[in-house]
Amino acid sequence: MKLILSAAMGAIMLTTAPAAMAAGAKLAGPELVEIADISVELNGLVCDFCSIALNKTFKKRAEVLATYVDLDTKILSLDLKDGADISNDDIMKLVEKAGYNTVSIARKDGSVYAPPAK
Amino acid sequence: MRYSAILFIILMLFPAAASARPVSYPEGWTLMLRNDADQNSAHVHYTFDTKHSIGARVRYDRSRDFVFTGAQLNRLIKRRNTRDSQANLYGRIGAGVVSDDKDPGENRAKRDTDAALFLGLSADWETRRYFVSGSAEYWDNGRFGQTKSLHSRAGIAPYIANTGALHTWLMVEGHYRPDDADETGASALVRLFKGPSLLEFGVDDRGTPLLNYIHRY
Repeated sequence: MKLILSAAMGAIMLTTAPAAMAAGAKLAGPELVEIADISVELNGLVCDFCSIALNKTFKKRAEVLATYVDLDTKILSLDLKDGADISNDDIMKLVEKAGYNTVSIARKDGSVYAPPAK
Repeated sequence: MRYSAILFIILMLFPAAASARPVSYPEGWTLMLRNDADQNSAHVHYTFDTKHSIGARVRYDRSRDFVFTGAQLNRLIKRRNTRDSQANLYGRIGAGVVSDDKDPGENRAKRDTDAALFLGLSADWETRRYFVSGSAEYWDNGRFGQTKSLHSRAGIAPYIANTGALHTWLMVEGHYRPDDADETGASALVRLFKGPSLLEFGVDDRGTPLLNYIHRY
């Protein structure tokens, strides 16, 4: 009986794991906007090369689970790993490294940071 | 002659190049291919910081029939970002060798290589609807002579596409090459842009097709 139960559990895990992974993979798209931990409004976003630059730059950070850049709203959405965080200073440095400028940083807790204009 | 003068003035108003942005994001690789009446060119570069990329360039000069092979350094001199636009000023320098593009079997007596150098300056301004760019280049091709050129380009996007969608641009490009028999010329082209790939195809006023491709890795 225990063997049958284990086999059944294993089968369920095998059949649901790909679906769970697929659901996780979808978070790299527009769906990420709704659940993002951090939303960064940017200046200079005019094309897909801009979004690629930002995605590649932020995904190199260990804290970042997924990213999405929306050219219409000019917002970079960041989904962080559980318990992870990135400071506003680090975000602004990464944005600048990719070649852009930060307008504001909004967090899930409702806080909004707007760096002083240069 | 009057047409040439007008075009020259227009080109001087946009003092930099029609080539796409030669600096990507740090640690990014880019492949740039350009094929038109003037050249067949391949440039692969690696962006090592926010403002610099370095790479290899191979360029076949179609009218003078020689090949340049060398290294190219690109620098983002200035970028200005606003909410709806981005403007860039780039400089580039290249050094290498030029040689005849002839089959060794032809046994040309003058088959040899010379040192070569080029300098370029380019600028662009872009929104999601409009695009303007210009460039100036100077080449010292050793025994193949010196060449100068000015290019400018203007484009409009018929629709605004969001991230990951197919972006389409309709563009016109003008050039002034004082060392060529045809000093001035113009091209009409379509730019298709999706994700990391950019493809351009068109034709110039002499009927010569152009085909450009850029991919960012």
